[in-house]
Amino acid sequence: MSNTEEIDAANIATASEKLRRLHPLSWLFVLVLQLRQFAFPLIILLFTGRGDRYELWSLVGVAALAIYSVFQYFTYRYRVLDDELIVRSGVFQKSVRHIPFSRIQNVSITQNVLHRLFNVAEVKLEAAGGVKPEAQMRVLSLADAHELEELIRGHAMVAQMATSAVDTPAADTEILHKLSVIDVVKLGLINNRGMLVIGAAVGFSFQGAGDLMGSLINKGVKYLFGWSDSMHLGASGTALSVAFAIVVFLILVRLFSVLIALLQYYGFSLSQLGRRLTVQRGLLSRLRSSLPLRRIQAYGLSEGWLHRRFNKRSLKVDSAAGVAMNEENKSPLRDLVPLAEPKEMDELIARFLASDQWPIQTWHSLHKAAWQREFMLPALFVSIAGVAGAFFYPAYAAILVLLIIPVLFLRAKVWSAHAAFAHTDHLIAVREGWLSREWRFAEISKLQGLSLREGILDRRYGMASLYLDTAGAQAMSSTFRIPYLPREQANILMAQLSTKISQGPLPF
Amino acid sequence: MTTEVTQETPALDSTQQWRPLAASARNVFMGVAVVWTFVLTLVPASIAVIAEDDSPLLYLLGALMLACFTSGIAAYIAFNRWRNTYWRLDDEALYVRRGKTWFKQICVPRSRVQHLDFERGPLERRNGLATLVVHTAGSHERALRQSGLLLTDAEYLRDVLVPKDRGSSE
Repeated sequence: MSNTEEIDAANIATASEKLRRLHPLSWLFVLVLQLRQFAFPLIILLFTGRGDRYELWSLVGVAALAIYSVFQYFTYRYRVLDDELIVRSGVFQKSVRHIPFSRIQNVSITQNVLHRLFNVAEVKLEAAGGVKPEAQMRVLSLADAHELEELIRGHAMVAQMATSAVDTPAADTEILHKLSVIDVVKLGLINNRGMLVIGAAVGFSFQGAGDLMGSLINKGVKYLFGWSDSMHLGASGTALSVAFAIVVFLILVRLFSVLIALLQYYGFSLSQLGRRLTVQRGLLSRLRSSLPLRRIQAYGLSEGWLHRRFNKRSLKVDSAAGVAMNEENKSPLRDLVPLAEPKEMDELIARFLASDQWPIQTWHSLHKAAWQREFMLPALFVSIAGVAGAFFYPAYAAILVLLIIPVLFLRAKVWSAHAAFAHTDHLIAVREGWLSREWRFAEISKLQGLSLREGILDRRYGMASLYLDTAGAQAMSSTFRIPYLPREQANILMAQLSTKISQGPLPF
Repeated sequence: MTTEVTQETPALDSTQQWRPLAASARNVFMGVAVVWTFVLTLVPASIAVIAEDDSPLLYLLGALMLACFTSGIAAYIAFNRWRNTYWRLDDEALYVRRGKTWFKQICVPRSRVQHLDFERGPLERRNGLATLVVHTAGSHERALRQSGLLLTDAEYLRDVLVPKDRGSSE
């Protein structure tokens, strides 16, 4: 940025728009954050007792980081003007960044335990279409953080009212949904996040500390076998105890998941201010993040077996980049409504869509032979595996594998009874699943591209699948597609959608 | 340049028919496929043969034949890829259809085009071809890349598909 611009900005600034710094302790938090990346390898080094020299080096590194953090604190300054924020930073390479308020889509405030101890918060300002935050303030005092949040939000509200007269935003925040502690416990039981964490930990330890993990597993297995030997259980007894151990393990994982859910979702509340949603949650580290409703690109409603036991459903949303990503590179707003009763969920969705098209009244079924198509391919693989297995193992092993086929048949039948798609004026939706059910839907104006696919098997049945592409879809989540439509119908649907997309404006 | 384009492609908008790839793209597709497959088969196969000590000459001949075989298959696949690819542009969208065994028809609505890339390699320049990459804000299929377009067609598409100023709401 040029010098003249800076001077201009300085002239415009009134007394209240003074130059601000981060919180005086912010160097500490920068340091802690950077240390965390060193901590794990360091601990492993300490435990395995290898590489004394590296420890020394890492100490030197820590010292350098500490000095750098202090410098960073002294150089980071920001100034709030009428319609923009100016951030200056840089130790050697100075940078001045002008961020117009109108560009900021989201202000997210995070507080972990350490932050709460010192009454400070980390603030991220997100712009549209960026994965990295526009500005990241590590850390501000809580009062400053809230002031900034209010300021930017207030500005967004004013801008919105100016641009769209039709929209009449509510004056104050309205709480749409809350989770009680019992709900959070249920959520933990349902989502079973503990399994993911354990899986990741196991994967990491095999990679990072092979020896440590290997010896642990060795000892554990030896202990188990020694124990079962000493009990003189015999084959069936051993099998029983192994089964018991597995059950205990699974229960422990669920309990662990409940703990994680409590940490992440305690005190969850979803509120709406104007056309903007705000989520607040967390037991130890508090998180608050907001999302303009129009940035929601696609919805995913799911109902697993356990969901049904509790009479609940979960809603996830894809949002275009510009929503604060947390450490796991996942938007904290992805799980927009983690758990709600079906009726309440429908009301919430109708509210988000701002239309009465949800819940959808008329669903259209897929191709008549869709269940065959769904059954055929896995059944073929299982048969091949079974036949191949018969050559290598005792024949009964193959027969056991073939027992899966009736299950696959049942699955295909149940799946096809539920699978359907819907196409209303503004919505395109598809539902699938058998044990756990899923609804995927999006506003047609949010679709970015379409593709029609037809494989060899599909051609035999005269069917095609329509794939719908939206912005911000997670790589890991299942693709948004309407499977196994009659070929002609798929073509017509594609043409209809294409027409509707072309008529609508670009949804950003 | 633009006058040339409008002269050569006036029927495009009105007919809205499926149009094949450029005729010269066939040889480019097949040539590239053959050369790459030949090299990528022959080199590892030769190394494997030479690593063994006894009678490498006969085995080298075998590696050569293997390379010919695989590049023949590659040529066949490339030919089919060329023959089965069509594109169409109408008022609403750009369509591309590919393949026969695994058929796929892609539709990029014109109002969803974010930006375009226009690419020409040395072989494409020599044969009057171009590659067009159409970017959208989507996630799984954020870029539609189509090579083997006639230069004039690609230029026409580029000019027509360039996003107009839609009066951003931001």
